[in-house]
Amino acid sequence: MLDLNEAIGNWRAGLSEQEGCRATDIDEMEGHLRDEVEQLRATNLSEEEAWLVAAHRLGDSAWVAREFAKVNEGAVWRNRLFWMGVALLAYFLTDYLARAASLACVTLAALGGLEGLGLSVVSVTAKLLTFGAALFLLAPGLLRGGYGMRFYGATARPWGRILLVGAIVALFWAAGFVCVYITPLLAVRAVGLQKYAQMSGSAAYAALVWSALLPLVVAGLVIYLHPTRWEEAGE
Amino acid sequence: MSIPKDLVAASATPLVLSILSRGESYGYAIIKRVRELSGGQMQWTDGMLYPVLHRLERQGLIQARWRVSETGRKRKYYRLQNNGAEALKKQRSEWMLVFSTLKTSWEDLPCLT
Repeated sequence: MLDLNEAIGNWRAGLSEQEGCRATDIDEMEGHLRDEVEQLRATNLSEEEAWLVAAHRLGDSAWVAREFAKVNEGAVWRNRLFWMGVALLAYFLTDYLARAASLACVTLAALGGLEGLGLSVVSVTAKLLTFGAALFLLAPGLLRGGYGMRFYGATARPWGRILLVGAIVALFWAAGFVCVYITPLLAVRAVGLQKYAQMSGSAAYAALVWSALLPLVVAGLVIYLHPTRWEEAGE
Repeated sequence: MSIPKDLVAASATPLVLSILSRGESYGYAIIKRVRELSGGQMQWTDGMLYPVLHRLERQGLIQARWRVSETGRKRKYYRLQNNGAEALKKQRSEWMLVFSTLKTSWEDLPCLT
C-alpha cells in the first residue's frame, strides 16, 4: 500500500536537493500532483497507480529543476554565493584561531628557551594542527547550519536555528578576533619586547611556508574535487 | 500525435495567455484546458507549464496570488494583466500569419493523406 503523503514527501525531498526550485514552486506543483491524483482516482485507478501516472506526467525531477533554474537564475546564484560566503567565513574563523594558537605555542616555546629555526617549526606545526582541527570541528557545524538556511528547499525559515547558528558564528568570530589581538599583547608581556621581536622573525619564516603551503593544499583539493573527475567515475 | 518539443515550447506562451484571457486560473486547470482544447492530442509534460507561468509573471504579463481553493488547499492563481492582453494580441497576429502562410503554401500540394 502506498502512502501518498510519504510519496509526496520523498518527491519534495528529491526536488529540494536539486538546484533550481524554490519552496513555493514545489508547493505549487504539490498542489498540482494532489489534484491530478484525485482526478485519476475518480477514474477507478488505485492510489498507487494514480500517483505513478501523476508523477510521470509532471516529469522527471532533474528536468523540472533544470527548467526552473532557467527562470530562477537569480535565486540559484544567491544560493551559490551563500555557500561561498559560508566557506569564506569558515576560513576566517579557522585562520584566526590558528594564528592565535600558533603564537601562544611559540611564546611558550620561547619561554622554554627555544630559538631560531625551532620556533619556526613550532609556529608552522601549531598552525597546521589548529587549522586542521578547527576546520574539521567547525565546518560540519557551519554546513549543517547553512543547510537548514538555504534559500529554497525548506518550506519555512527556521528562525530559531538561524539565530542559534548566527550566535555561534558571532561567538567564534569574537573569540577569534580577541585571540588575534590579545595573544600578541600577552606574548609581549610574557617574553618582553626584544624576545618578541626575535620570535616574530622566526614566525615570519613560518608564515612564508604557511602562505606557500596552504594555496598548494587548496589547489590539490580543487583538482581532487573537480566535477569531471567524478563524472568519469560515474558518481 | 506527438508534437515536437520546440513546437510545444513555442506555442505554450500564446496558449497560456489565451486560456487566461478567459479568466483567472491555476496550473492544473490550465493543463486540463490544453488537453480539452486539443482533443487530448497535445500532451504536455506537466512540469513544463510552471516555469512558463513564472516567466510570464516575471515579465509582468500575468499576475499571481495564493488563495485557498474550494478543496481547502493553497493554490496559486494567475490572472492576465493589460500587458499580457497586448502580448496575446501581438502573438495572435504572428501565429495567424505563420498559419495562413503555411496554409496557402499547402493549398496547391496534392493531398498527402
